Amino acid sequence: MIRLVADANLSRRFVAACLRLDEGFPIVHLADWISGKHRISKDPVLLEALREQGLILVSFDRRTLAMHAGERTRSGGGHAGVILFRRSVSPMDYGKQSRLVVELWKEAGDWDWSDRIEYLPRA
Amino acid sequence: MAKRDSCMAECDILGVGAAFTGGLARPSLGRPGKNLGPNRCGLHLDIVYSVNDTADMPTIVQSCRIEEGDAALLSRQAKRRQIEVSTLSSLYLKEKALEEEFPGIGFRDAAGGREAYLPGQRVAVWEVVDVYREAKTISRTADHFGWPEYLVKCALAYAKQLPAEIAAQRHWEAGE
Repeated sequence: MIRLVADANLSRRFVAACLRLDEGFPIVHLADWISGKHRISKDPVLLEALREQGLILVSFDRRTLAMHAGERTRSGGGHAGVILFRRSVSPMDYGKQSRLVVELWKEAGDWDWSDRIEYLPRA
Repeated sequence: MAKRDSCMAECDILGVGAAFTGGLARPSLGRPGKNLGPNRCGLHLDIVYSVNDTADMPTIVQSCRIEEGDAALLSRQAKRRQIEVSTLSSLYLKEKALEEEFPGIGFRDAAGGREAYLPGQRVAVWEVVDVYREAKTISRTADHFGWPEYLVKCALAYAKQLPAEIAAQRHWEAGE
């Protein structure tokens, strides 16, 4: 069952790399999730759609995305969780990105991800 | 008496290097026309068109007539954003002009203000530039995003034209 959605600023190659590390890894690219319906959605709309489905957004760190997620938490709307790659991770280093997420998921797959924002690599 | 169906809108436009009045200049809108001589652009301007035309605040006042209904819409939107109508008019004018100049580019609210992005893709122009710096080629950048090459070219053309703006947007979003 899908649990994670890779944002548009991540490559499909990152998703493929995750699946090479773990064939059953529960991730899909935003462009492929519900036929790419939300590939043009703005952050608040996307976060709401993901919350409704209980899906965690994986993205590159953007202050605006974290800000919108925080606003949703404060307003009571909430979100289903966000994983953000720090900018120290190269956008084209799919191997590192996939290792970081797959490793995190081994530990964190059972966490309550509601309103949680996790940064990778972890401090 | 003919029904008045338009009203005057004025806005300061940032970074415009020359006064444009479209042949419909209304000097009487401002203070009585005192010619200030050539401005920074070498143009002889009435005082109305020299407002804020300084190195510290390089803007000009540009006037245009718009439909009453459009003015009301603009006013409602400005109120919603809690900014002056003239500020919003200026923003819209600038962004629409840039959208015409760089097809495929749009603008959205971001943590640090407005941000150029690719509306069909959720990706900011500065993010495309980041990937391009590493990918080195347009085709590899397009492959990374799974886009046609023309989208990457759009973003790069915009970034090339407005490097300082893109750097500022990146700084705000990525904190680097």
